[in-house]
Amino acid sequence: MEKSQIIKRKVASSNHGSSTAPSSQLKNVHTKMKKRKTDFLNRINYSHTFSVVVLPLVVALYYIVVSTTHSLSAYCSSPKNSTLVFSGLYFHVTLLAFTSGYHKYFTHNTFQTNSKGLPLFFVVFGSALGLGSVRWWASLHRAHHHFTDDTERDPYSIKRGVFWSHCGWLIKKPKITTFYQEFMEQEFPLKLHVEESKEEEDFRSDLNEVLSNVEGEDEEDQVDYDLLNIQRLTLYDHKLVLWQNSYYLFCFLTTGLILPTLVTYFFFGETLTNGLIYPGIIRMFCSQQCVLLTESICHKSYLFSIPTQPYNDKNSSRNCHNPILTVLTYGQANQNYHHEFPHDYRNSSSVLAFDPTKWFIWSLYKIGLVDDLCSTPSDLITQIRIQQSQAIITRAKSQLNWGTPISKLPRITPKDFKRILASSNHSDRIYIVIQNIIHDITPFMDQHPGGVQLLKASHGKDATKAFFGGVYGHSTAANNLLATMRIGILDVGNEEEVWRRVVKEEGNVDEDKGRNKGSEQYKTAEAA
Amino acid sequence: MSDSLDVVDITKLNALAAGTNKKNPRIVAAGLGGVLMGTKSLVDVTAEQITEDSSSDLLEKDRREAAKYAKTKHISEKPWTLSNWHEKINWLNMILVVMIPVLGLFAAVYHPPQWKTAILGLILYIFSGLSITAGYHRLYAHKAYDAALPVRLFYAFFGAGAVEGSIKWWSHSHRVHHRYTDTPRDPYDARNGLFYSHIGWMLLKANPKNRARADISDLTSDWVVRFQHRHYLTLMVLMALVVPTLVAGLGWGDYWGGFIYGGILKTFVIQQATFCVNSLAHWIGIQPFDDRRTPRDHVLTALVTFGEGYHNFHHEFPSDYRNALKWYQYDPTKIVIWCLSKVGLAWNLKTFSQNAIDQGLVQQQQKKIDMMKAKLNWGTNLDKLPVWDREEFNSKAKAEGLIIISGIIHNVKAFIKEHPGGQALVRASLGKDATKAFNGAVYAHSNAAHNMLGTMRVAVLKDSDANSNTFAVQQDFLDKEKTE
Repeated sequence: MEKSQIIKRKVASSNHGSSTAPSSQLKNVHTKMKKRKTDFLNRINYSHTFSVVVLPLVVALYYIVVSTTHSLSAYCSSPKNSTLVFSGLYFHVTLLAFTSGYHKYFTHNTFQTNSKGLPLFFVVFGSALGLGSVRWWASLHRAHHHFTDDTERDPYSIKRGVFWSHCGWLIKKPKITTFYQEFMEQEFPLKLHVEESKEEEDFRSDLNEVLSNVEGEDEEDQVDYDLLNIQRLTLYDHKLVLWQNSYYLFCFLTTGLILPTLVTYFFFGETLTNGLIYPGIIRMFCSQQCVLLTESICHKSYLFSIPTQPYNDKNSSRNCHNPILTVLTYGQANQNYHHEFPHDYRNSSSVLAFDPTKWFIWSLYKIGLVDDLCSTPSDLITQIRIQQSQAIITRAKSQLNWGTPISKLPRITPKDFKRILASSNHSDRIYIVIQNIIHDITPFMDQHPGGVQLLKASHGKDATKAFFGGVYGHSTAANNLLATMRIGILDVGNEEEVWRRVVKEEGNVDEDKGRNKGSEQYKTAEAA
Repeated sequence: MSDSLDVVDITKLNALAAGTNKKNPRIVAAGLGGVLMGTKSLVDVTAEQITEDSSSDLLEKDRREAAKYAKTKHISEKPWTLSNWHEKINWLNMILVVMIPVLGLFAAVYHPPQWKTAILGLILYIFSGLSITAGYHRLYAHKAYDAALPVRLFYAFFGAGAVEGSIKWWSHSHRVHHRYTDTPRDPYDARNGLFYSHIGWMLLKANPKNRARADISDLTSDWVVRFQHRHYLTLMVLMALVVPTLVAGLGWGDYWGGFIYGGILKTFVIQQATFCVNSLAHWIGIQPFDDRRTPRDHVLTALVTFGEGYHNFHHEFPSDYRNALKWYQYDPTKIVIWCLSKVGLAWNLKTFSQNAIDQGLVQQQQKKIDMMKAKLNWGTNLDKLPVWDREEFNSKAKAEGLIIISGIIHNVKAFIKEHPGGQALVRASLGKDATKAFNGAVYAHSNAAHNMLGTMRVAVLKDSDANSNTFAVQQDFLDKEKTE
């Protein structure tokens, strides 16, 4: 992609500078290319490229070399069982620190904690995944939830391709750097006042703005500022985030690589290489993929499973009902649910769903380490589900032919109708009146399941009673078909009856009309 | 010229629908076959009676019938006792449908099948089964397409081999079933239970008060139908028993095998499969098109009945030559008919428009959603809320925890602690107009939040300028955000 851009630029610049001398033009192009090159090099995010691409590649190369060269294989021993078990355990520890800490706690604030150790654990062991500092990852993830599918502002927008949303965004820095820097500054401000964070200031100014809109009530304007101290992230958390932001590389190298190596070396007598590779790099690689898969496959997963969007189909997030994917993404495959209810500490409304993060947070809650678990009330989930299916049905309805609405049918008096019947132009057609609406049944004649004879016998007559049970109680489908064959309304002077039917039918079929009259629920339902 | 329009004469139409308007040449099945087709009294009903019944209440009709049969009850209305149980049973059907197959099963235990005979049985099963589904059912009963003479003869012969009655009898009762689904007139009324609709209706004597009739004049005009009806018993014995016995016997010397497997057991399997349409298809499965009546769609029913299992669709669109719409649904009958049309042996295949089918689907889904909606609490409707003025609001606001959003007063007292954004924000706006804060100035709330807010409504504020709906305000905010 980068290359093609360069070429495009080259063409553009050569067109532009056609009047200048060719040599200078060439020079120009050269410098520009150089500039692009340096830009390109500048845009690579080296620390993440190192942890996500280089380290796993090195391990893979190492194994290829070792397995093909016999002289080297002597130096390389296979790992001990205890190392493998430790790697598995460490995988879960670090991944849980990431999913419940980085994701649920720092990004979405799904629970609160009074403990000082728990956030520290999250911050220190979460960085073992090598996916960046809390400040960086959490604000980018917030941007992802805020601007889902926006090609520029969603850091891992699926619209830039599966590879980009999987790991491309880690390797290359985003184009609009200033935007992200501002966003980060807004979410986790670097300059932290000792008394109050900037975030709180924002809240206060917002509140004041809101309050100033309310007329009168002078004594009410004094907002109880003490209450504002109950913030979602405490000051301690904030400081922790900033500390981890500056010492991220140190944290990553310690918990991600050095600690597991040393633990296996001293406790299990494992070699240093195996200690580095198994609980270090391979563990890191697997846990990274678990996190990254949710943003790529769960936003474009028709390749691998039956995805559904039961809560909202206006963004690309999907629920993947593929057990393999559920395990691979560590229970976070229900992205549609997560995008609709990001504050929920669960990833699915189902109690039985595979979701280790939920289990972990729930256990913490039970032993009293965390409180204020956010979970969406089941009624609300059902409401959203209903609104979503209603939206789909409304869309489907609008695609179908429901016949001419009664209000748009021409009015025909019985006299005119009889004249039409008598005229020779219409001699081979069949007109039947049902509920004072004239229907032209001719195209349906041969298909009528009850036979043509019945239709012919009712030609030019009012067959309302016969249609609704006198001879046969017709099905809903028959009623629908009948509506598509309307040609006119019989003007027998019964205005009120006609308008009642207009309101009844077009209120149902034409959603907009019905909604304006109806309750406000629909308006709010369409809002998001 | 009078000013009012003629109303259709329902009696006349009913006469048309029942086929009693004209003297049909009476086709009598020869000998014992006539008895097999069912009692004549069941179809002996006039258009006037049908009209009277359909225009009057069914309960009313039952009362009239009860009065009529007060003295001499029909056997089917009497309770089961030890002394009369044998009178309630239709013994001919009992022998044909239950006893002979049971004997056949016993014989099969002592006579294991040769593989050639088994294949013969399978082929005959497929031929006879398809004759019932593609021929008896979709061609004759529903006129879903037209077929060439060889095909109709094939259906007539192999259909007779299924021992399910003649085309005329079968199609007639099937048309009655479609016309009177889920009423007492329905010969296999599914409301009487699984067993009754499967086989009970056949084994018991029917109540003559539930008489019904459908027009079959189009069938009797076909000489194949007339021929088959006249010589039904001969054809049945020939195709069901003699042919398989002779083929297996002369072919590879397995007379008994041919008789048991190609004859009795094959017939038994087809009969049970066909009965499954009347029972299982009204019992298990989903109702994607209409849930006012019993028919249901289920893949299991389709598997045992050559694709007749998508019954909800079939009852909604009876004269469609298809039963399954989706490519992955099992409907071999549809494929056979389609292939016949490709080689020119069938034509005029009838289908309902996709529009009508989608309409049915959408309406049924809407119905389900409306039902679910009705169960949930969406908050009081605006027009049912009381109207308060500012003084009233101010006097109550602090004590009761009220907030104004979009000109509606909400009681948020119980919700303060659950607010995801922290209780401080809600506390700070108690007794105030928080429309802008709610719609974006502080946080643009989600759909779910709007729903939740709806449940907390208590009153409408009088002379409030923020009476516009929340959606417009939110849209304004989003637009502003975009331009900034």
